[in-house]
Parts: sequence; C-alpha cells; structure tokens
Amino acid sequence: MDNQKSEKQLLFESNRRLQEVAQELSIAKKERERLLDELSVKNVELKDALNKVQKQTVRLMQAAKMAALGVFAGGVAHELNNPLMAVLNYIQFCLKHLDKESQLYKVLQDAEHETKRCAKVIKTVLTFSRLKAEGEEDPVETDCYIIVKRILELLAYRIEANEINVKVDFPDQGLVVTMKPSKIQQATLNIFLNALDAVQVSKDKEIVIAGKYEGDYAVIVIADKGCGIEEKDMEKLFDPFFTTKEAGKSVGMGLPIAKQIIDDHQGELIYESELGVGTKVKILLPLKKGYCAINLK
Amino acid sequence: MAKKILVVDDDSAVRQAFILVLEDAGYQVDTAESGEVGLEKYKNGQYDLIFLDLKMPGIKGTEVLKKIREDNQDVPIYVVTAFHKEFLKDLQAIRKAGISFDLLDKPVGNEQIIAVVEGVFGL
Repeated sequence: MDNQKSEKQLLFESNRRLQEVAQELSIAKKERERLLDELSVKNVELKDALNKVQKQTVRLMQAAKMAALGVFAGGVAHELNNPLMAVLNYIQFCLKHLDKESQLYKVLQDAEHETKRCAKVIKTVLTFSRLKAEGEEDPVETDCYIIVKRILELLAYRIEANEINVKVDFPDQGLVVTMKPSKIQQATLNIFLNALDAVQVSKDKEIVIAGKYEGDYAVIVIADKGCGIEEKDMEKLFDPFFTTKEAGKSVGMGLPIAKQIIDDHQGELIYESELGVGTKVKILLPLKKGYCAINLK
Repeated sequence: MAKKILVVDDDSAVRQAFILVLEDAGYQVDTAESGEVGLEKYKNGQYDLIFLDLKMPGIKGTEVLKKIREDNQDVPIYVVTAFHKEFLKDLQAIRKAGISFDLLDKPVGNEQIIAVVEGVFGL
C-alpha cells in the first residue's frame, strides 16, 4: 500500500515537475521570440545606421573630390585668363585693321567667337572653384517660393517666347529654409534651365515647379515633360563638363555647381527620368532642427 | 597732347594687349611689370588713367592703389582682375575707407578697354 502510494506520489510529483518545465519552456520560448523580435528591430536599425554611414562616407569622399577638383580647376582657369585676354585683344586688333570683305577677317571673327567661348568656360570653372571659398553670404531664413519667383521673372521672356507652360504649386504658408539664397537660386536656376532645354522640342511643353515639406526636408520639385535622360547618362549627371547638349551650347558645369551648392546645404539632389516621358528633380533642403510647417506663420 | 595711361600688370601678354589697343587709339602708354615699378613710374610721370592688376608678386595691387591714393585722389584707377571675389574683403575695406577705384573683370576685350578710356576722357 505504502509502495503504491509512494509511486502515485512520485508520478504526481513528476507530472507537476513536467508541467513546470513545460511552462518554463513556454516562457523561454516567448522570451526567445521577444529577443528575436528585438534583434530583428536592432538589425534593421543597424542596417539603417550602416546605410547612413555609407551614404555620409560617399558624400564626404565626393565633397573632398569636388573640393580638390575645384582648387585644381580654379588654378588652371586663373592661369588661362591672362593669355586668353591677350589673345582676344590681338584678334580684335587684327579685326579692326582688316578689310571686312577679306577671308582673313571671317577666319578671325571665328577665332574671336571661339576665344570668347573659352572665356565663358573659364568663368564657369571659376564660379565652380569659388563655391566653397566665397564667404560673403551668410545663411538666412528664406522662402523657397521667393527664389522660384525670382527665377521665373529672370526667365519670363524665354518662357513666353518658347510658349512653355510653367505651373507653380507652393504651399500657402511658404517653404522656409535657412539657406544662402543666392546660392540656392543659382542651383535652382541651373536645374530649371535644363528643364527649359528639355521641353524645347516636346509636344507638351510643360514644367511643374512645386514646393512641399517631406519629413525633415523642404523640397523643391522641378518636373518637365521633356525628352528625358538616357539611363547610361544618369550616373554622369554631376560629372564636371558632362553635357548631352550641342557643342558650344553648354559647358557642362550647371549640375555639378548645383550639386555642390545643395551638398553644402546638407541637402540632396534626386533625379528621376524616363526617356521620352520627362525628368523630375527633387531639391531637398534640411529644415532647421525643431522647425516645422506648423511653426511657420 | 596725347593722354598718358599707365598699365601695371605682371603678365607681359596682358601689358602687350593694352599697348596694342591703347596706342592704336592714339594714347601714350607706359607699362610696369610689378607694383614696385608701377609706383616708381607713377611718382615720375603724370598719368591721366591707370589700369592696375591685383594679384602680383611683391606689392599687391591693393597696396599700390592705397599708396597712389595717399598722393592723388583724382587720377582714375581701374582695377583689372579675375580675382575680385578672392580680394572682395580687401576691396570692400578699401572702398569703406573712402578710396575710390573701378573694377574691370578679366578678360577685358578691345571694345571694353576703349569704352572705359573714352568714358574717362569724356570722348
């Protein structure tokens, strides 16, 4: 009897212990799942952080590359400026004293034209090389819409003459960013000029220029229904002297200059394009810390 | 009597360009290859107009400008440079101090040089 009782007791104890172990296992399993979830979140966070570091590294390397290129290009441009001025004046002196009907006169006119073209290239290169060095403009809070309005005023004649339909869409409360206004104006103008060129031969000569808030950024969007950009050219867009335009029409410094300016503002320049459909450019400018649309008025 | 013009620039090609254009238009041109020589020539000659480079070895153009203005407030001085952005602070300080000058952006062509000269001499 005693033995039977003892076995029953043992069985009961074992069963209870088993239940306890099962419960512990269930808790351990839940804890494992929780830890796995936590790990998964941490993993995503780590990937994000890694991504940010990689982006920042690329940006820093690009900035260092562009700064070095700027110094080099600036030096070359300065060295070329004096001889170029001399050549221009020698040519113009000859032109002044030549018979306008002579063949030489026409040849020298071409030489003068090409020399002026060189001068224009040098001026653009100097602008690029000076972007970092110029310290005359302090950042101020500026409404991006004011910048866009100025650009449209500057290009009003060209827009009208080419019958281009420019649609402007900015929020009523404005799109205020701390920026160097003349620099952002230059960057936006360079991008807008490309849009104007792109719609020149399009059926639908339409450009939309819009402003909006997106996360921590103020965004200026310039979207055209122009010829679009070939995929093979997309990665070269910001390379100095890269152009798809006719020789003599563009130096190929507009976008590198724009990119440099936006980078200096810790912003981003995003290009999306489809050949034959159009191009959309987003200029992202970081909002001041703690600054949001609601605080604007 | 032909008007006398002094060109101060360390680059011989630039000096030659000024001589070509200005002598052809009937002006008497003197040149100086440095700030030091420029100041020496200024002291010994009566000039009606001065073209002055900014970035030169030795005395900088801004110093030459200040020294000439200590002596003469009237002679028109055109600073000819591609470096006006780099010298912006110096030039602003000079202007603030009441020292007068005009600025020409290099490269300067034939027509622009003549336009400046004719503007100065009221032709």
